[in-house]
Amino acid sequence: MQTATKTRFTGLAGLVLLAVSQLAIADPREVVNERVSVSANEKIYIEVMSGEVIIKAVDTNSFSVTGKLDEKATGYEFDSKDGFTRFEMTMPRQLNFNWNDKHNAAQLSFEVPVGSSVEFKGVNGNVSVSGIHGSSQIGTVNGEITATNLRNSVKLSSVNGEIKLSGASGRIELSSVNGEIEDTGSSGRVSYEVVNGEINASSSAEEVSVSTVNGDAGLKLSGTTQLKLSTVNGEIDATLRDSSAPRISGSSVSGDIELTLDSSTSARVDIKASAGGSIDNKLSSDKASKAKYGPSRSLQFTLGSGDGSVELTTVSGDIKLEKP
Amino acid sequence: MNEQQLDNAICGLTNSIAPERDLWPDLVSRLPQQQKAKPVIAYWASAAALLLVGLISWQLVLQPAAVGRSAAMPTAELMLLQVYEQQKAQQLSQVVAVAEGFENWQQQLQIWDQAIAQVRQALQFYPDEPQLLAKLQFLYQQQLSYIQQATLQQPLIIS
Repeated sequence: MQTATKTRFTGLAGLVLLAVSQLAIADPREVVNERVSVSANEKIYIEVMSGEVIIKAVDTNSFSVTGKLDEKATGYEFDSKDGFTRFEMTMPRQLNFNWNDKHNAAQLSFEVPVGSSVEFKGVNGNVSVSGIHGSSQIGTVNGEITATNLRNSVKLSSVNGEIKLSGASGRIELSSVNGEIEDTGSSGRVSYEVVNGEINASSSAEEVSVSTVNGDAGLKLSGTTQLKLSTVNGEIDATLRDSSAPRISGSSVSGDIELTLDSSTSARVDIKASAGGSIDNKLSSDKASKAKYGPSRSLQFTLGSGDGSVELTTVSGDIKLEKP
Repeated sequence: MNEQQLDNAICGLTNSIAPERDLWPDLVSRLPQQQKAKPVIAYWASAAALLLVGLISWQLVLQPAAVGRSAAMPTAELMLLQVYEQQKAQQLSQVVAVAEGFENWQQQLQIWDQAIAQVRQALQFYPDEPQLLAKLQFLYQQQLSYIQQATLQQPLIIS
């Protein structure tokens, strides 16, 4: 009986040891836990090449980082003095590094003061940023950026990753080469720039600028007084509400521009299609006329007392003016 | 003679003095003979000169584009092409590597090349049209900025 109990105990102990060793093998990542007092408007630089990163603004004047490094990381560098704080997860210098290997990637959470200026650089990681009211400059290559309640100066850029922004205000610049940009509820001055990516925005910014090469843009704007649209081959569909005399300019090569304006809009409208483009106007009864020489078409008319202006040009794209 | 006496003497003088005899017939006989009429050729020369001045003014003022298109002065389109194609060739010659995430960068460049070709086609109908030239310039600037973003370039060494 005693021998049996001993055997059972030994077996159980063996199992526990095995489980513990398995756990240790399962998560070989280095743990990080740093906290330091910083100034309210600290300048913070964070570089984490891969993994999941959360940066959250808090009401205390402190900087903290907790979580685990990527299993391939060689360690991290952290220093903070004279109003500057820097954290970098160091990776081995090796060629043909496989960024798509997300196994045991970093998982790090940062807390920064609300009024700080934060710059983040990543390659393959997703980053989530919230509540920074100083300035935020976030850049990734393949990762996704999710940002909420950022103020003042906001610059988010990605090559292939998606950018999701909500409730931002101030001077906002969003750019992606191939990724999608989604903006909800921004205000201030916003610029969206994509090459092949898509833009979906619902904004009440006073000034809005949109630029795409092949990508499409869908904009729902409210109270915007200045709007700039530019595309090479993409399609831009913009609806502008509650702006009595907006200043709108737009240009495309073979891309289409569709603009929906309130029927109470007051503006002088000047539209030109240089070579093969079409003009469709549903805002008034005016029709485009063909040039005496060459293939161009143009349309000019005035809405209301003509306080604002709408100037759209295309080479061979279609331009449509619609009522809501 | 005091001042009073002088004034009295001046007041006593007559306003005009008539010549003792009619001098005019003598003057007429001494005048040179009347000039002959201008030869007809002078009028023709003046008219031709005026016509020439008019033609030159018309060429310079009313047809500046025609002067601009002469072989000596390239069009604005050609000037833009020359500047930007040179810059593009220089940037491309310095490429040493492609940035992370820009693997299809050369295909992307072709999209701008096609758009540039489209604008140039439109410029054939409307040479030197400012809006089309601005589009052409904008496309080149976008393309150059993309090359910079998508590639790592060797700094130019000036020896």
